[in-house]
Amino acid sequence: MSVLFDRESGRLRLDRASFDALLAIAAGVDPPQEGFERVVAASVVEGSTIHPAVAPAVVAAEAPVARARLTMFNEVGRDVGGSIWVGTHSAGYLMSSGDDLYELIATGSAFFPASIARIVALGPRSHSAITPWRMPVDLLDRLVDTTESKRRLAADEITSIVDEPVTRGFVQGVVEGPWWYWSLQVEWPAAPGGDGGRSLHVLDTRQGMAILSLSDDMIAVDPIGPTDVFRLLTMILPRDDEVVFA
Amino acid sequence: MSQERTDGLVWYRHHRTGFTLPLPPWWELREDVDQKVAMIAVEPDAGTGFRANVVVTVDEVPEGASLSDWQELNDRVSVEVMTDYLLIDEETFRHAGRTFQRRLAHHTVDETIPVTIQQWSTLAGGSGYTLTGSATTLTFSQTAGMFAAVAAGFTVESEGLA
Repeated sequence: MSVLFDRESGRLRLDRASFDALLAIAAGVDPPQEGFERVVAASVVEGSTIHPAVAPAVVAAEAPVARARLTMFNEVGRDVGGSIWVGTHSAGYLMSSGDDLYELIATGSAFFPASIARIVALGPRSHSAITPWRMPVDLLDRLVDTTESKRRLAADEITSIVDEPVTRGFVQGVVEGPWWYWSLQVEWPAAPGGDGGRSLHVLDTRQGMAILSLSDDMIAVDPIGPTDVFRLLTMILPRDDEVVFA
Repeated sequence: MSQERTDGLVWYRHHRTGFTLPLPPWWELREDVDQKVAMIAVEPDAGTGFRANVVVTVDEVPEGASLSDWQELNDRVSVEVMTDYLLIDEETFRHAGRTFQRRLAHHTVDETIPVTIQQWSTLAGGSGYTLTGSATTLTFSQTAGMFAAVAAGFTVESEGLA
């Protein structure tokens, strides 16, 4: 089965072809036959009507105001992530489940910050603030490598620059794990003079959190707490004056 | 309310319970709503649905309970009474001679409205004082600064309920 649908809860897991069929139905064009047969067989679609638990996600994906991409990985190489479409009233999340199927989730658009917070498990953390530092991109790549020995060498390089107890503990926490490194990139058709996107990159460890940003070809690493991460999530979607509506 | 500050907020003192904080003078004020809710200040009704608000509650705290004991109890209650309650942040700090706990959390109101709350709680004379600022989540960045200013001026002078 490449479409698993629980009509009671509205939980839907499906392959990409089936999702494309739903998109085609929402757009009012002929859906690809293979995916269409699957979504009909699973009762996601009856006639030409998409089940109401699923429709808000598909409507958002078919005509989004903004598109987002969430990527997450941890010290053992586990990848989680997905594509997100935020529409005027609803949002659709097509999340990878670690196999060939995606989970399609619908929420109201205004729930976007809280939904991301739940996905990345944002919650109380240590408020011990690391000392900010800057490093080349390749050093970040080695620090969040899935091989512990590479992380340890990268940590040694960093602590030779910033040798302060809280930061040393944070970097050691990245060496030993557990941690998640996640990135959220949001894009939209920009109004004239606008940027058309915002992003957020967070390294989340048991010793605290850091926000990472690209600055003059270097990665700037700064302390951040859950409150400020959440505040940034509430500001990451475009304001009405930043976006060109279709 | 009296004594305007440079940030436009005005000092308010609740006489029965003895707490003081600054509030936006243009917000609607209700006092002693019930035994626990000492004060509610609500932003003007702009017809947009949920109105940002500041609430101060005063609870009896079980004898011998510490601030963290009381907050753990409140957490369990919050999970039960608030829809989709999500605790995002918490920290303990000293302010105006007292230990406070700050929390940031998210919940859903009326099934469709995402609301973010910030709470500052402290103990005084066997009572637990909680200042809660609530706003719709997408306006959080606009209200967070004002809520922080209110919290920065929140002091409890009383040694408990009269």
